[in-house]
Amino acid sequence: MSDAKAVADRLVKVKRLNALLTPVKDLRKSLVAQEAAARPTGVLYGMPVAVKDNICTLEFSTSCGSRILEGYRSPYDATAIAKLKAAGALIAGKTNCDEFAMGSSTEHSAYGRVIHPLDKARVPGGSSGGSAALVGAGAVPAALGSETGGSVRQPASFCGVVGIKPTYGRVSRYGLVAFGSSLDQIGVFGRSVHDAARVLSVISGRDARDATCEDRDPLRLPTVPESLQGFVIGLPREYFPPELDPAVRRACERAVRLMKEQGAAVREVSLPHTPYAVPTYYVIAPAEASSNLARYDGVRYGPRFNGSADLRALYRSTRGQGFGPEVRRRILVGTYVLSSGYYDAYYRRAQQMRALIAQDFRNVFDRGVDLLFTPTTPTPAFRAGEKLDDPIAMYLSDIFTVTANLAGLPAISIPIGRVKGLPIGGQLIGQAFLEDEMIEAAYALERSVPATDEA
Amino acid sequence: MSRGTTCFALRSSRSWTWTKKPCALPELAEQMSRILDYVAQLSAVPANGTVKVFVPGPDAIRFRADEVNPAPLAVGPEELAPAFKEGFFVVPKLGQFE
Repeated sequence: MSDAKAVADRLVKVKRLNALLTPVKDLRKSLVAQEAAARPTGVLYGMPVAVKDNICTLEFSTSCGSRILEGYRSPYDATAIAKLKAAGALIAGKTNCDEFAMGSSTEHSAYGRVIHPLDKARVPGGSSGGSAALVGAGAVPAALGSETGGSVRQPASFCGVVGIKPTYGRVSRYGLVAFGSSLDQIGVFGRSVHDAARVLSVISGRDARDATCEDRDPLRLPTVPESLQGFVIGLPREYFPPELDPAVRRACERAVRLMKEQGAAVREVSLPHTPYAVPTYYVIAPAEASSNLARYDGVRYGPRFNGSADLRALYRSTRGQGFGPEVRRRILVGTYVLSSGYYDAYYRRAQQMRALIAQDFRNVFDRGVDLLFTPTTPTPAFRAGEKLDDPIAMYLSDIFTVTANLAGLPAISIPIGRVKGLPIGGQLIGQAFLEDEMIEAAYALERSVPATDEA
Repeated sequence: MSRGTTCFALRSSRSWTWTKKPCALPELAEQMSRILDYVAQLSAVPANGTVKVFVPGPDAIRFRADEVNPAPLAVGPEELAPAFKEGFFVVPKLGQFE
């Protein structure tokens, strides 16, 4: 049996997770064709990579987990997809996600919730929950997701896999459906740091089609270091509050001990504006979303919902029926905070706070700290439905991840232990465009930490 | 506030706004109020405008000023249509061709 058929079979076995949106029949056919066309000398030759449904692909539809784009076929591949194909990777279908990447549990998809690979009563995190669940279940070695506020690292932590969010500008956003354009960045899931880093290295680098993509060569993969000698790791005290889940704290303490044993110097540091990160994010991201999502009007993209007497009614019925509740909430918040009279009170203040949060990081890195270590999430995966009626509680599950997005910094989540069988992630935040240093430290941590042991 | 009454409330940290509409949205209104109250913590930021806005990405990217500008057309709109009057294209009424 060819590899392509074996990949399709593995994806059929995890159908119960509802993580894959592409029908397996279509996928099987496509994988066989892709395998035949793949370049055998490519660095990812034959590697199946699943792709979040908000990244445009020629082969499969791109619905962003929304009814408003149901069945939409992009006329082009995203740059990240084109680079994967050129490297010989196989695009292993589109994965379920929160609608337009807005959510932290993958319960806000128009195509049903994604099931956690280890506990069917729990969520896989979000918004890239389908990609995380497929990697966590062992169906694919790597997958693409997208990050606006932690949508790769948080589900990676919940599903016990590695998740990397690169520096803003490291990977082209061309073909990534826009949500919050100053925050969005394509990220990678992998079974291991090496798998994720290999894929990141392929998709990174300059792209004339995205003005916010830095004019840099692709990321060069670092070697696995013998020790962490010379690394200074900062522990920001705001990320270890007294109310932190005790098991998460224990897992982090164990990881810190292991990094020290490998020669790292560890220092407590402070990022004083951290408590304002989530409110800042929930002004800036909805503001940008309300503008970006204005294009879905039933005229230019996707299906049109009928029964419209005139143009205004067409917009109303398409957007009213096409968007789910979380997207509607965020569009409303976004338009509200940008409206006359509230712009200064909300949006301008949020932009100023974003600058202060980014300055916090610069201050710490300027004092000789190379990397920061924090928990990725305050708790392990929560139960499905637990936070659905409480948007603020849902937003707070990203409390340790949004800062890296606001400051445009690279970050990685690595499994560091388990609580009652559920994975917990530890996060390393690096300096802008120093992903190689961050990945080096991640290799060392991954090598030493007993990721499947109880904390 | 009960379901099915004629009210829709959107509360900011400062005020309530009421509109008389069939009330299918009380939960949404309540959630919106809580979200806006939550993000109102940002009033802790000094409002003196001395903090420079942070923009991620290449230094070469510069945003335009946040103001309304005329459309940057290579030629004026009056040259794009046979007739142009007081800021509008003048087009024949439908039916005049028949």
